[in-house]
Amino acid sequence: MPIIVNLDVMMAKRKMSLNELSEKVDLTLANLSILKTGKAKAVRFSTLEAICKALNCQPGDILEFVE
Amino acid sequence: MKSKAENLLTVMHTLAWIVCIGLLAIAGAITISYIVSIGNAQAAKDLYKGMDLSAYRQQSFVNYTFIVVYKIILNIAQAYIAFLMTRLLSKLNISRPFNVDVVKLMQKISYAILCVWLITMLYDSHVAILEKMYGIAATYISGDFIFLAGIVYVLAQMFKRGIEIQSENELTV
Repeated sequence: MPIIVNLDVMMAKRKMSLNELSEKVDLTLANLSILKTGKAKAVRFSTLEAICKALNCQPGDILEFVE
Repeated sequence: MKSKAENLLTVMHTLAWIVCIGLLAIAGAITISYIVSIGNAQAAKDLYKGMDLSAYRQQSFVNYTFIVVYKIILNIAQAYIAFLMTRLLSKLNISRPFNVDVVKLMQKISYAILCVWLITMLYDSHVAILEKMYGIAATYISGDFIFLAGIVYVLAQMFKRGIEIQSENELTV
């Protein structure tokens, strides 16, 4: 898929673990893992908003388009 | 607590098993009557619940055998469809109805119905030829259920799309 999820990069920059993020955005570890590994087929705006708030970043920092 | 649909599916599952066993029993009964009728021509008058094929038996034993084999195969094929139905209903999960097994079984059912229709057409044409040749009153089997095969196939294709939508829904974070 040409959309790459850079969640792991942002998490590393903010030095935040998956467990911590999962608690902050109120998502299960399984769902976060799906998103992190790029298996997700869609992301809700509410999820994106929560992740951006927790990591203090923009949606563009998490999602990237590659041809 | 089980929903109304789940209860209905349980009843359908039981019914499908009963139909499957019943049709196999009929096929078995016809086979045994046929074996008896090889030695005793009188047995051809009542093969199963008044099924009188003695006219064919008198005219030609080969044609009589063909007619009996058609009837046995038809019953077995219908029993197979009922068996596929039992497997489909056992694999159907009402909370996650779209899965690959269900689609495969639906496709198999549609192909099986198509086969039954082909056998029916063969039987009807054979019986019609015998009616012309020997003047034996023919009893035809309606082949209208060919549409059923088409409908089941279309439903299987719709289920395929359902699987895609379900997996998309599951992979939405």
